[in-house]
Amino acid sequence: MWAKPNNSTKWPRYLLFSLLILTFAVQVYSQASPPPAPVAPPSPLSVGDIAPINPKVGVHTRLTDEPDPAKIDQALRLVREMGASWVVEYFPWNYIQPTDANHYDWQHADMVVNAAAKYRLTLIARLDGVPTWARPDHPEPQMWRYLAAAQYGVFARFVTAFTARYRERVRYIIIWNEQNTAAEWGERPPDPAAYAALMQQVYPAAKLANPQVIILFGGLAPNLEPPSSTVAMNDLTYLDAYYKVGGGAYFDALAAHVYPLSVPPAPPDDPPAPDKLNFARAVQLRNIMVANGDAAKPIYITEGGWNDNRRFTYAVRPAQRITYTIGAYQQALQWDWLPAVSLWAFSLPAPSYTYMDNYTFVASDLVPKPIYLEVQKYARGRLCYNSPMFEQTAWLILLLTAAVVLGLWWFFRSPNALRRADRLARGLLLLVAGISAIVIVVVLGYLGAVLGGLPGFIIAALFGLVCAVAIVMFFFAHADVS
Amino acid sequence: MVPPFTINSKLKAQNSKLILDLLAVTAIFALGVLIYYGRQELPDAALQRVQASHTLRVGMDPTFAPFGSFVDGKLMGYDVDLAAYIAGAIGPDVRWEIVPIATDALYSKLAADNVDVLISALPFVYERSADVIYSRAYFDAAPRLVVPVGSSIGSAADLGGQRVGVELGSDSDAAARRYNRDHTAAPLTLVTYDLPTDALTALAADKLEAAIVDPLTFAAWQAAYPHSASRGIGEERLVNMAAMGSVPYVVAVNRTSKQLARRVDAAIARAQRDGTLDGLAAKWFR
Repeated sequence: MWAKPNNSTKWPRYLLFSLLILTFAVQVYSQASPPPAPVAPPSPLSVGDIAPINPKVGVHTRLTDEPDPAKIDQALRLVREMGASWVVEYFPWNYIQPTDANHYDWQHADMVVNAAAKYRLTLIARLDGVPTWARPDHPEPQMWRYLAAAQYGVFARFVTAFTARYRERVRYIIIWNEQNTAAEWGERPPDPAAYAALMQQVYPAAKLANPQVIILFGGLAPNLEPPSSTVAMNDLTYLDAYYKVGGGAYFDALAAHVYPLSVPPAPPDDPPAPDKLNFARAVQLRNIMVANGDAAKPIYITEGGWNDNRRFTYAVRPAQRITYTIGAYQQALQWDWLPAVSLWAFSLPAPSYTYMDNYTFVASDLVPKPIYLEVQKYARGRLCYNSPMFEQTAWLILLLTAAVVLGLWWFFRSPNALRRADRLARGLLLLVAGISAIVIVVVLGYLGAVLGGLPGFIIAALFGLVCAVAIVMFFFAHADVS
Repeated sequence: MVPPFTINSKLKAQNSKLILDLLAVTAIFALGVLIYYGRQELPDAALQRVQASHTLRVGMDPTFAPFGSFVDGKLMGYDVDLAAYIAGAIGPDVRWEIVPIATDALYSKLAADNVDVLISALPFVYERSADVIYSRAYFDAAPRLVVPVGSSIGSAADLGGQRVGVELGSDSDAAARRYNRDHTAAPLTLVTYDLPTDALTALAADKLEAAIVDPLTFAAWQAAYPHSASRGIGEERLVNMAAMGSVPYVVAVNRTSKQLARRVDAAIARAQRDGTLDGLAAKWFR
């Protein structure tokens, strides 16, 4: 049953010997070379080198008022290097059509869209904001969110033009923003029926321009305002009311804003409840959608996040902000109806010198903050980015395992030596061989993931599997059990 | 025949010179008067109002302990005491009135003349210096490099290769990472903790060579673990070696209130000299 040792069994020995030499060489090299700077800035890898482990990681950039093309490019490159795959950006109508309905200024929008495409980021575009010419009854600057019903068609034409222009590069479009607040609805009481009427004009127009476009319901401001409030309408109430007036047919997905606004702010795994403003507010919105027959539609979190400004009422400690942020990205993996979580905000064009600065991942000069580096560690699968000692230990384990296996090989190179061993000894040797094989597979897989992300893990794990098979085959080849 | 009232040519020339001289003197005198009055400052409406009403209106965000916060319904803190000191320095009969304002609205309230000064742990913002006059700094909120007594680390330049503890994600963490970006040949070894006190505890236990923490945390630590030979525990003797950067807290006054700004600045200078600021720090930060 078991083949006697012959020349064909030499190759496992050669393979094992090569593994030992390779491991020894890597150990010597890594001991001789200084360890990498543990907190060095991310190297400018090409996009192909980055294999995010969580495909739902995203951020909301704020490039709307960034005039420098180089900074736009650098910001989106940093987004990608952080390990994000999604980016939300705002394209104000009043910036693109500042003068009249017949002229468009696409220059800035082109820069942002092209840069996002260059770095293979999936862009979700938010469209709102009313040019002065489109609100003749309210030309005051503070009324730039005022869209009269008579102008819905004009806005729809803009959405059509945007959709058509970027049909190859922008598939997701959010219509309006926090329309359940008076401030964002042109200093008027929120009106779900009016928003439904707007969507009724925008949705078919956009679909004509690009049937594949995904139209997102504007992200609602999470709040617990009473029904009598003139400031805002409860987001759950608003969404339900929108469905009741028949607006459900005019969007493909929901954009959601999930800010943890409690004292103290809740962690991302805090359970949902209608009277809680936490990360799980998205679940509450989902419940409304399911109750109205829209279980098939996804939700995209397009704003949210924790803040660590000491002067902000809803602040957490800096370490908590990092832990909760990563926890939020991890939590998203539990919700199959949630394709992306884009937290606010990647950076601001200029410091605000308010608590808003403490939502950002990088400073206004695009210097990464600690939270960026920690999210990058998580999102790019580098388990111990800040601990080269762990990698050293892994290599040491590999070296010792290979040494054990080859030591056994040398000691039992003669088939007679193994045959002379009794059943118990042979069993123990096989156990050692099996454990060694498993260790080699696991450690090589880890090192491959650390060094090369997912492709590295696959290649290294396969190599480890080959070594493992060789080890076991070697021992079986020498067993000569008949 | 000589016409009546005719002056001979010599006298005419002399008179002309005299007139020109008089004109020149008059012009110079007038210029001098203009220069004198032109250098005079316009009346400082804010200072005049303060002196007339005997009240200094101080804009403050009352939610930032220990600088200003409500305790049992009473507003108290470092900035509250500083406001009292500054008011007293402006005039012996000048009271102070704290006007609670949300932090985002401080500068707009000052610009609208709703308050005379802002004393609210304000960091110096260069972009705003076009609209306000900032006083000299009365507190530096920059992270502090903390080492044990007798450490070989004499300054931030000696951190290469050392284990340095910080609060994860904090300004101290950012300062340490900034150090490593600037010293790639000899970086420090960053060790992060959830709380700054954890970093100090680790430092005291010799698990680190240094820690970078905010000054308030270190002050509270020193209050909790005062240097005392009788304790005989060397690891608790930590010293503040250096500030990692500079984050000055200042008082802001409207740009048009130059005289008031000078009085405020002089008051802070006096508070530094006479130990008032040190006393306030000891009272509120420990």
